[in-house]
Amino acid sequence: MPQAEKNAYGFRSLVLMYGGLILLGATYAIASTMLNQSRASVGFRAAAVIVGVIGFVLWQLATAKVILTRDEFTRRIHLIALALAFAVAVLCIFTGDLLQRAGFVHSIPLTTIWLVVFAIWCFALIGAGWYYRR
Amino acid sequence: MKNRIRVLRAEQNWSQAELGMRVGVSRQAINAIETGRYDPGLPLAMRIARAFNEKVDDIFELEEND
Repeated sequence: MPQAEKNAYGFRSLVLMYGGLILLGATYAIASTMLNQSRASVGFRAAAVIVGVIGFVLWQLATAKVILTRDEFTRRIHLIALALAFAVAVLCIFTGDLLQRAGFVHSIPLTTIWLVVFAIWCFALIGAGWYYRR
Repeated sequence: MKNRIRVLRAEQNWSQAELGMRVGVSRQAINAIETGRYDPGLPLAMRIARAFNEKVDDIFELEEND
């Protein structure tokens, strides 16, 4: 791949990656602000959910696009990271469920769960990358 | 799977980055293949063989436990 094409490709990937993240953060902040209104109508709350979900889906699509344009080695790392993240996330949720039913912890908020799953995915990606690239 | 990429690369005096550029993958991918942590798919193996003007079989070799 010529250098100019490589640079353009790298720039596109960066725009997609950071653009997706900024969009995710912005839509989540908007949705949270809308949901924090004390006297919000049903339609307003539904709109907040839609805004949040659309932001998340767009971020997922941007991330998928970035991954799919990478070489097969990078795609393999992402695949391993996803498998690892899924296994660890299910284990955490399963353990949380039992701890909750056993009375050791109170109810676990869904916000905590998705943030933890997100963090697990990030760590799995770092771990898989470290294993293959060391 | 064993491979002779490091030797062939040294013969051509190519860096990992240069080989990676020729076959369309990153330097890290070439490093992972050379060290045996990653077995390439068939299209990449064929591109590597073509870059060295060799046959795939002459570069990659199955081991006992493969």
